[in-house]
Amino acid sequence: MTPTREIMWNVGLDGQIGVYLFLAIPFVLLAFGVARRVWMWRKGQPENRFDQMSNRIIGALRDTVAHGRIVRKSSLYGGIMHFLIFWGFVLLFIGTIIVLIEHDITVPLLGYSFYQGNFYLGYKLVMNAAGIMLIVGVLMAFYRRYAMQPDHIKTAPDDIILLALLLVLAVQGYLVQGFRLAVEMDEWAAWSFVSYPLAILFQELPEGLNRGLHTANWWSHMLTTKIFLGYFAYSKMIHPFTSFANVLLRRTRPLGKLERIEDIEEAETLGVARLEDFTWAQLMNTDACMHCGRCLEFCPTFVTNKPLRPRDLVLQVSGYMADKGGVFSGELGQADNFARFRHGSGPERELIGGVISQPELWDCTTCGACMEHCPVYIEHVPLIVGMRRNLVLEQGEFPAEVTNVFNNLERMSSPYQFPPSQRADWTKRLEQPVPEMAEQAASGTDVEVLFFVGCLGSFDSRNQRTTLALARILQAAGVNFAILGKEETCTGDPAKRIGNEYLAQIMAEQTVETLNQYSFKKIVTACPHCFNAIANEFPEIGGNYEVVHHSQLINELIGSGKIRLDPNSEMMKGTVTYHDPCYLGRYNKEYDAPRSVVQSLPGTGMVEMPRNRNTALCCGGGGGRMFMEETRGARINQTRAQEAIDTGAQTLAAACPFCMTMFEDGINGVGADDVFEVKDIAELVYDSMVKPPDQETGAAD
Amino acid sequence: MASLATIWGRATANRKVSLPGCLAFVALGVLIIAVGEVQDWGWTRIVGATVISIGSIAAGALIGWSDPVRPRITYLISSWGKAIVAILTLIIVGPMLIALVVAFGGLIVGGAEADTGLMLIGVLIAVLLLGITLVTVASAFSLAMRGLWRSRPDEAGETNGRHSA
Amino acid sequence: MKIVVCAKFIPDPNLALVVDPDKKRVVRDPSQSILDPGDEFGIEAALQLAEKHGGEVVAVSMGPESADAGIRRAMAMGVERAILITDQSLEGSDALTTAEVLSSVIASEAPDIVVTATESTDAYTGMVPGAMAAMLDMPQLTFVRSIEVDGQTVTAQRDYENGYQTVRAALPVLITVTASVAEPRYPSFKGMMQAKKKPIDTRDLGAVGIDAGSAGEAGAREKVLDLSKVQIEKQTRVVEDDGTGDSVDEIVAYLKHAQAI
Repeated sequence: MTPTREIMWNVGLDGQIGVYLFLAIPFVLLAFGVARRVWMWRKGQPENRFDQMSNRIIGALRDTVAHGRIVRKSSLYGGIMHFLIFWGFVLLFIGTIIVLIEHDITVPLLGYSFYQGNFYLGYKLVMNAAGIMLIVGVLMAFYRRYAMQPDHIKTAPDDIILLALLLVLAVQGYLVQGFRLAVEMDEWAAWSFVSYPLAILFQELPEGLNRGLHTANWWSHMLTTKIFLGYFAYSKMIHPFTSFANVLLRRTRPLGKLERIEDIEEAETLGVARLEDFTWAQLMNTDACMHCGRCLEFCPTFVTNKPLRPRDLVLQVSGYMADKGGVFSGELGQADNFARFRHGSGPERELIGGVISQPELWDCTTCGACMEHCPVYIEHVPLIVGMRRNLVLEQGEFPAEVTNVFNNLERMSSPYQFPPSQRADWTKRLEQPVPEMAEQAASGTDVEVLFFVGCLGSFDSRNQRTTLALARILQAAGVNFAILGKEETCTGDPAKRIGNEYLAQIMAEQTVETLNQYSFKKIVTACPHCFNAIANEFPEIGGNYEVVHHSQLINELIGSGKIRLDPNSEMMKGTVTYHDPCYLGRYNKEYDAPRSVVQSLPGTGMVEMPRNRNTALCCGGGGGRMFMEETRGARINQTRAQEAIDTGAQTLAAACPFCMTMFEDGINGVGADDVFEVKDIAELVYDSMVKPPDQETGAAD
Repeated sequence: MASLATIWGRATANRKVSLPGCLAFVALGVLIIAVGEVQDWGWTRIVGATVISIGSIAAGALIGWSDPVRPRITYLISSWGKAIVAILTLIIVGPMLIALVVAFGGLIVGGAEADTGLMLIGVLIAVLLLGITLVTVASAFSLAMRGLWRSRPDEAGETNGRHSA
Repeated sequence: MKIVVCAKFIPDPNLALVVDPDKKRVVRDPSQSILDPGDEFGIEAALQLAEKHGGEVVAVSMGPESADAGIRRAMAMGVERAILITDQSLEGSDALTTAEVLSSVIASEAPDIVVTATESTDAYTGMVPGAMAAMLDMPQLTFVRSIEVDGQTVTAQRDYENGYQTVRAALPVLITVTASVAEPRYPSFKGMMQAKKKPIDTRDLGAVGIDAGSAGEAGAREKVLDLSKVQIEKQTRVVEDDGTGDSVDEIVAYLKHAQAI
């Protein structure tokens, strides 16, 4: 006999019609839910997310079906759990479709049957295994929610209802199969390896009872699938639609680039004050969130207990949208939906102040950890900066400390109150002069590398030491370089991230205009914020340059032997730990060059902090935060400094002037300044390199 | 691929489908299936199912795509919330719980010729399935009864004031 | 309530001051000039009063035509309209002429309150507000750090070296403020855009009713005789701590001597 089974075995006419008839209700509910969400997204501003379709599709399959962003080193448990539930469910779903194709298409229409023989046996094996995957995945999720209870996971009724439904569906499947096997007891019954032992047990019962229980469980299973389908769109289970849409229509531009407000002087609305001011893609973003909490794990504000939690911010906007969309405001589990309605509910709320509080918006360091770890490409930082823009540009509201930063940028072209004429004063401390671009251009001298010093490197006394070290390294390596000197201006990064887009545009345009006057091969900068602006934000305003971070250039110089490190240098022989600057690592994916530099230091060991590379915790200085008071929660810089100290290292290697300033404070703050120090990688290299004769006496500072 | 956006726009602009039309479609599909099954035609199943799906999806999409009206239906669901949860839970887990409990009957009435080893595995599986079903369903049920239709906090529990900027 | 604030367009005090040795006058480059930061305090205080009690804030400025850049800044902060007195013959005016010009315009506005900085951040004469109060026949409240208006009465706190003094006057009144009166707001971009459309009433000397001959350098009753650079001497004294605690006494004695404490 060929192995197969009778489809719709023991199912009466009522069931044969019912299975199709009952499709109508969940389909109406599901279609309504999806259509209403898309309808709400369409309230947003236009944005083209339909370019590069083939890349989008390939990437989306990699990140969802193949779990590219779901199973990650930083979230293995959750990733594997999702993989099991996803593939268990998908395989069982495909199994149902296979039966449908056999029963409703190939057999009645073509008279062809494939649901038999080895295919059938393999099918049974896979389906039974898929059921186990689904059950194990669900149990892992249960265990995590009830026993492990990680900080970043909160449980609403919806989460548990869905898990229970998924588990019940799998168990029902085994039972229905078991009852049929108990009666039929095919020779190949053992291929259904989970149901087979159950069937052996059921076999002892009267056949009539087995048939009766089969019917009851068949109906129950059929109706459960319909209930599940109907509930789909009103729970986080909608994420196969919304999250897939979000991954497919994800942002393809560099993560480090914040969108400009085009024609800002004519713009009707500045930033985001109402739901309609977001782009449709941003609204889709908020609906794609199924609150996995990964955005929180490495978020500096969450870790230090501040009001801002990126997950909640996204859910708050999505809850507000639901209120506006009418039907979802009656969403199930609303009272326990921990984040959506954190600040109350109702479609008449103000977005800023009513849905999202101002402290939440100002706490963000724009470190990008949320976006890096979001499995479905939600972009939290642009949402936050959009609302900051409205506060700054339209309402003139922002932390008072920032006023001076804006005034200084306007008047001095730097966040600090130093006249531009003093920008190159640090060069006076060098043994050899540093030429300025204007001089070189006037004398017709070619310049290879333009050293973009940045405001902190120029004016801040601690960061001047980094600048001096880098300049001495470049001089020692014989690099043909020059600086802009007093012509240099801020790239606009702090203003842009604080939300003063107008000022940021003026600063950026000014800088590009200055740079475009000169010819050079590439730019080097020790500031990842400048680096990010030059690399990602300048091209669209006519500034196209090759730019490298100083860690990359130094690494290259060491590699090519232009700098030799002295094994007998006075450099402290000890252990160094390296902190990844957000704007170098997460935003621009440079994790290796600075590490390679640190590892090449003679006599120095390197240890990693628990949170490193893309999981690195921010220093707390980005997004304009360095200029603001930190009044809520624990101090981010101290939290990170303590993490560095706990590695047992004696030195923290920094590669960003913002980090440098934050850690100088942070190390003092935890009272470790006599045993632990922060040094820029340029200082570390300069301290341990073989110096040319004229630099012999010059210490890094 | 700007065309995708265009298609989207066009699809939403053309409102040629009407709600009664969609529902009539669903009814037609049901009729096709019922007649086909009674007559044992077979081919009618996929045709009927397709017609039902198109009709119901179109109906849902149509309502979803129009301006929201104050939804009485959610109020209705809310006021009957606990009863609905109870009935649905019964439909979902009633038969399977009976089945899992009855399974142990097989052990008791089990004849001498039965393969006891496999039967014990069967019992083990039944116990396991019963256990995890009870635990998960009980947690979900109690959460649903307790929390599902509680009204949302209108007054924020957490500080929501504008700080002086 | 109508409040007039004085707004001066001055060379950015953060930049190096350039002095013309022949004219013995500060070189005023409009591209390097800003609204006097000292005036921003007065403008902020005036705006807060107007927001609280209703009314309008009018800025009055005397300076070159380019001074409208400074006025726009005041307008971006919230000032409704402005009067700019600009006339070639005003160049080189002394404090008295300045006060005459400003007060004659202010008088035509008949304000309830006039708010000015204690002194300008370029010339630092500090004489204009007092002269204006005399010419306007208003009481003057100087060095004010907080202003309360109740009906026709103004209650103000005057900054003192070791505290403050509470004084009261009847409206109309002239008030000079210190930096502690209010934190000037940073104008929103929307405010800057709106400021572009606000009216600036530009008047020449004729419109003010002052004879050109008595204004400017020609009419100045004070003359700058000489200008010289300030010599800043850095005096560093290192006190070694020998563990006896004498060093503390020594430092305290020194600071007392220097009148630092």
